[in-house]
Amino acid sequence: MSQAFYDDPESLLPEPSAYQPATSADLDQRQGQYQEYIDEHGLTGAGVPQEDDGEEERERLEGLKSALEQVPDEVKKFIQSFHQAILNNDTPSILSMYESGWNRITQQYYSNEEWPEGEVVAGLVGGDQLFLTLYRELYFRHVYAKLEPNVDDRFQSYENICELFNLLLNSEQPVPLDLPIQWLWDMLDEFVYQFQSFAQWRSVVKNKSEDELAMLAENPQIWSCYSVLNVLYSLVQKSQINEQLVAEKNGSSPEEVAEIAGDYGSKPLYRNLGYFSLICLLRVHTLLGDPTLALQTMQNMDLSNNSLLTKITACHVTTYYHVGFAYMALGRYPDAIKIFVSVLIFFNRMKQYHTRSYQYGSIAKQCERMYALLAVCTTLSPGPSDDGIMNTVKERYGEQLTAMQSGKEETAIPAFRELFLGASPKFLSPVSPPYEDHDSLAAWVSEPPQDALVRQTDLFIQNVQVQLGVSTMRSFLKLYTSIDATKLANFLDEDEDTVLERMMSLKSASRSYGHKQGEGSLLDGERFVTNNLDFFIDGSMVQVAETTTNRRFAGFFIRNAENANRVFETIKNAPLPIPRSAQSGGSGQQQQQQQQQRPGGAGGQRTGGQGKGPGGAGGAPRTGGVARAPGTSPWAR
Amino acid sequence: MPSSTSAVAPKSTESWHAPSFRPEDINALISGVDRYNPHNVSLLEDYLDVQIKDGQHDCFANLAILKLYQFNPNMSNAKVVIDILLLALVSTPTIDSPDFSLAQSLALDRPSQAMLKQQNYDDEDDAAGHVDEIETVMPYLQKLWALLKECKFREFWNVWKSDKSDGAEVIRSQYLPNHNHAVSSLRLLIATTIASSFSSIQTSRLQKWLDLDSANEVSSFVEGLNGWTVQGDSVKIEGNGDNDVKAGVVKEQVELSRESRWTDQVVTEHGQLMPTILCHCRVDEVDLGRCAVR
Repeated sequence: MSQAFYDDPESLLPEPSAYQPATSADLDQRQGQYQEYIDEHGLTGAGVPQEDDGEEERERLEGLKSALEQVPDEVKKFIQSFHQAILNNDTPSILSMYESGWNRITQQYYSNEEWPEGEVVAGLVGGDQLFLTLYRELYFRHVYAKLEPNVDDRFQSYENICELFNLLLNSEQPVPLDLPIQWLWDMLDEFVYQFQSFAQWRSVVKNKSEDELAMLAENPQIWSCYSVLNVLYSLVQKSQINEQLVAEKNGSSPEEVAEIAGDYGSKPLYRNLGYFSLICLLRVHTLLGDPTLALQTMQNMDLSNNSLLTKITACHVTTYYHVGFAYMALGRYPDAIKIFVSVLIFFNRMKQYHTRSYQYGSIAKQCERMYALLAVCTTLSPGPSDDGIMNTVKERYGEQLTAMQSGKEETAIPAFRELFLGASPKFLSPVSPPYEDHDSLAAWVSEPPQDALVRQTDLFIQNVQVQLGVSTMRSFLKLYTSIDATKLANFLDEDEDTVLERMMSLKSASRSYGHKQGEGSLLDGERFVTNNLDFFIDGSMVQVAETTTNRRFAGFFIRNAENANRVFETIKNAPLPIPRSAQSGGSGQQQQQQQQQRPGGAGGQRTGGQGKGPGGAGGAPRTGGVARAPGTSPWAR
Repeated sequence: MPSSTSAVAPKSTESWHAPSFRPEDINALISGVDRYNPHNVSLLEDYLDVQIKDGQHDCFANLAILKLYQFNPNMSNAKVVIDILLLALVSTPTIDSPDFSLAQSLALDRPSQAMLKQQNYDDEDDAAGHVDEIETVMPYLQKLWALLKECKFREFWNVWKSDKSDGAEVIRSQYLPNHNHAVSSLRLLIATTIASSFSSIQTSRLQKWLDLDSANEVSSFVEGLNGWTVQGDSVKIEGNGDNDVKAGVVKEQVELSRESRWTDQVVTEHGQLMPTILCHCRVDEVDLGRCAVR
């Protein structure tokens, strides 16, 4: 995962000399090519009408030409070399231009405005449709991220991304294109984001201009749920990704998997698109309030630390956030906690490499939400969890934790509601207001449906409300090893039946189904006890059984064993000492040699914490062996 | 009640998300993209009727119906929605199972009722007579569900039988006659809840909680349950893992093979080193066997 961030992407850019300012002769020449191109082919770029109606068309071409003249040379150059890199499938160059070149130019020229439109740059790239759809994908992503998308942007970005996927899915044979996985993930991630953004924009009938209303009425299919799901499922099916994942899980050889994958699915482009589509489906289903379907689409996915999704931080965090949230919606709080904690530990370890990424902000925000959700989940299902993460939760949400744990409706419920509202995904409804029918639309406005987020929050609060009394009971029971229900009833000022009812409620709150990583689908789970405090009732006698936890030594053991191993490695790699008496003259030289060798020997050890199970922060292998090694060798001085 | 019934919470979620009685064609339908095809809704609705008739509950298949309704509000059939909600309420395997919430989450995602009336008006000219049945019964079902979750069984039965709200009337007059198994499913659900807390319970209390009319009825109910026996004025419930818990000590378990690469090196290359470290750290719960095998 970390590899991409250790390398400085800038270093992969073409030498600065390649960016020499274009001379006017160059410029003329290029325009000559452009003109030539138009003369020969006409403009065939996507979205460009091909009718040839004299004056108007010529004016339009003039307009494009002068628009192109406005484009700074460096940008033109960039677009051309970007195009070239994609034509050559030169992945390292594509990656560097995608990750840093594009952002650098954006900052320099387009921090407050759009990049040149697709048709304008079409001439620079020979009207290459595929490249232009990719270019527009970036163009619109920039509009969404930095500027305010207008209705045209929203419609056109949809048309563009559909065109791109059509090109890929409906070609007679696999398109020989290879894009970095980072880009493929971002593309699909953005696809879902724009869908979500559109659905929210569409649901607000007020403040829409005549034009917008008309466009919405005429184009109900734009960003509709069915079309978005259609794209994602098509990518899944074309790539045979589920079949591939099943085969891999069953231990098939790469050749067998490739055969199952077929012509398309065996190409990295299709395979990766299919893979990320599964994650996008997880997201879309969660947004639509269907957590079971969300987890169902992930059933063949491996969530462990070696899987593809962990190679991209944004993807890793998004996947875990949504899986965790889906578990929460199923009331499986311990599973949700496990998922959140594991990704937060990962993120805390990785973030030092990430602060430069343009997505850092949104990833950090998603992590922030998980801390809030952890506060909620651990209140509803207290149990042992990672201390470091829980300390952060307490620091940030101490006040809300106290309120939620108070068990008093008037303080607890608002705190639950606040955290849930702020930290849940932006739910949406698949149904559009009936823009096509004036009367129905009026009826809709007069009585709008409940907002999806509010509806989901209410549902969640219903679940919380019935659990409120549980924590009081739990703290009472902590004081006894056995107590008569009548006595307990006296304390609580309730009748005995009520107390027993509350006990049963506590019992059900301390049971859950837990998923075991690597076993079955995400929906599978075994019933287990979530809390240390347990009890049973014999007649009316409550017998309390509290489970205690031994002191934990493993982390300490692992650290020390690793340290010992490091020492041993250093010793092993050091050259044998040469008796001082025999070599009195050459010993200085000898020592120097040792010191040169030693870092090499120590460097052969692990350089990072690999393969960590979730929640295992205690056992983090130490790094930094290189720095420590010389001091630990008895031969060092 | 058949004699083989067990009132124990399922050990795993499999019977919930993939019940053994689900027919193969339904299974194929709901696990593929065909589930989005509106033409398939009648297949699923028929399956729902079978479930109601047999007193079974296939949560996932019914959610697929609600999904189709969510995407195609014009298809939505209030009667089916209420059947699903009611079935989810009475046939949930345990009171902490999310069946009813999940059904609500999809069922309540529907367009404004004013608009539906408007459209109905266009179609049938009887907008005035249109009553939104889902809206009528929802508060009643939610109330019942909350009482179940809170284990307030006495009040639950009270509301179940004699609530006076419109929703209660609708449920009782139009839906319960078809849901023949509702009461027995509910009793089983409550018995399951009781069994996870009690190792023995007074017969009179059990009678109230299960809403049975006499001690005789309690006896015959108890006879139908595995591991339940009447003893004097109380009922003994066999240990099931939940009602016979003991205090214990959690011992730390770490799978060394997954932690990092050094384990195999330490053991295979220089077996001497390991005992030294063990001794030093006083670790008594490290699974050395696993470590050595690896």
